[in-house]
Amino acid sequence: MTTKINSIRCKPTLKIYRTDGAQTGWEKRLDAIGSGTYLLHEEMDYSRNRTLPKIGDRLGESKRFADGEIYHRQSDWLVAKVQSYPAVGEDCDWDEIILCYCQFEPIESEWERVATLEEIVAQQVAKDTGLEVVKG
Amino acid sequence: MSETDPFQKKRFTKPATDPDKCAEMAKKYGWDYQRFIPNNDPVLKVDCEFVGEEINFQELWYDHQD
Repeated sequence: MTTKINSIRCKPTLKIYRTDGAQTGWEKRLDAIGSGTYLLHEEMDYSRNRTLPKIGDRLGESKRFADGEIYHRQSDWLVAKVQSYPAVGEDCDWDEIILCYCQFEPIESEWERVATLEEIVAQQVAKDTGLEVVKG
Repeated sequence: MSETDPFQKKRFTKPATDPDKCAEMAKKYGWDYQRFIPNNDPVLKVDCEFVGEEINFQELWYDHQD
């Protein structure tokens, strides 16, 4: 069950996805200065209705294809454990830090193109007004 | 992001000049900032990827009509 945290927050939630040294492919997981890393991904959630990642979720992955478009799919990383670290003190940049520990569990997942914001806005305008938005 | 999110959130991209601008947009509009992906544009050098639940289309429309 996805958990609704609360409705209004002033500071973002940092979601960190990490793994351990026993998971397949550790030799190739390097950080920006060339050292081995446990970090897989991080996200910054400024949304009003935030949802906690939960055990069994898949870390998503995105990349740019040869057509120049960005595609997204579920990755081979499965969330196996979730921990929450709320902020302590008023001067924190983050409201909460969520640590998601992931295991390598390969799956078949289709790449789907990610829409641009302009496309979503155009779709919404067309739906609301019945008029087509002409780009130009 | 949870793949079984009950809030009907949408995933989308928006170009920006640098990654910090992605975070600024996320903060302004209340989006979940997922990642940035560099592109070959000389000005808008990254594509920001967000997940958003409530998009204020009218505000966005006026913000980007320049």
